[in-house]
Amino acid sequence: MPSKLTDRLKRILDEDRKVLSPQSERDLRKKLAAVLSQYFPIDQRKLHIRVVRTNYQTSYELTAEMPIKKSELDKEK
Amino acid sequence: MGQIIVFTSGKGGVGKSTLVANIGTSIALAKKRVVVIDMDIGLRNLDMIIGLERKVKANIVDLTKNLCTLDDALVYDKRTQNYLALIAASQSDLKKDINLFKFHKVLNDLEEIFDYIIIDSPAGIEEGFNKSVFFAKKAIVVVNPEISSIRDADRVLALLENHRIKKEIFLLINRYRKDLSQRSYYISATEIIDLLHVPCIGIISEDERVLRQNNSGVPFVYQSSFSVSTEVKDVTDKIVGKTKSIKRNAPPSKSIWEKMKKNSI
Ligand SMILES: Nc1ncnc2c1ncn2[C@@H]1O[C@H](COP(=O)(O)OP(=O)(O)OP(=O)(O)O)[C@@H](O)[C@H]1O
Ligand SMILES: [Mg+2]
Repeated sequence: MPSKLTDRLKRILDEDRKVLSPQSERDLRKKLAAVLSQYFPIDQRKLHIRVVRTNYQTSYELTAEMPIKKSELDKEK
Repeated sequence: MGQIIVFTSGKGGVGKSTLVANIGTSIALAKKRVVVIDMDIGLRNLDMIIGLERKVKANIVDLTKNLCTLDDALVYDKRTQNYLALIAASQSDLKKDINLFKFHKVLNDLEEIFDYIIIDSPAGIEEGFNKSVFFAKKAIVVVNPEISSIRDADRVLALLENHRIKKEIFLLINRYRKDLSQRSYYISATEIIDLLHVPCIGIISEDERVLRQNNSGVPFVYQSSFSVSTEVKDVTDKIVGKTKSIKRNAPPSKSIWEKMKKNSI
């Protein structure tokens, strides 16, 4: 189980490996939000993305947290 | 043709020279021809750790400047029946005094004579580091279970993986305290491997007798009863191809230590 310490270290390493400037990241987030919302009932304003370089030069990794719209969740209830 | 291996770390004082001295000796005791090169120009140490300082007559800078012959610069270790040789660093020059092209030529000559050419890199990621890692085909990144060392190792790994000469890269965890591995303030070997995503070639325990051996100029591998000696021997077996390393992204497992010891992965 990852400890608080490894979580902290992971955050530091992720930050070090970051590949986009804050401006580009905001821009990408906005564009992705527009595309993703065509496929998922998501709350565009709450989309959270993270781009890091994993395994160094071999690949980028994009993770997105896509909170579902509240209205959709209410429907499911 | 010899294999060029560099030991590097980013952060200083993690045990590169200690491990080069001991792994070099251990490879030599396995009857492979090995030369260890101290590239910490200006801060020469490897000769002392191995206990050969009195025999050093010339150094790597002299060699790259054609001020001496290869024979002048090579110091052989009798205790290993001369299977181990050392090329010392210069104590009076600077890192910039090594010409990369000339260094390449020296390495080419050494590749003809030795099975393994092991380079002890200086700390940092500047000139000395760059020259040390440049021609290596295998890089061993020494890391301590400590956040600053892991962060620096991560930075070095990125530089190595982006290098224009492709390298096989491994982690070597040093000064490990297995007894602390479950503590919340300690970073376990499994966590280090998971964070850095690089195969691990070995785990060497923290042992205060390492300091004693370093100070006496007798590499600790000669003390076969020490568990650090067995751990170094395991790394040696992997370098000379007898066993494999723990794979990249190995699934977290409590028995990682046991696996390393049994060389089963
Ligand atoms: N496994 C170990 N257990 C205990 N002490 C160790 C161990 N490995 C290394 N040391 C100690 O750590 C210190 C630093 O070791 P060493 O000089 O080999 O590091 P280094 O990475 O080469 O340093 P530098 O970056 O300055 O070249 C020494 O005092 C050495 O005795
Ligand atoms: Mg050193």
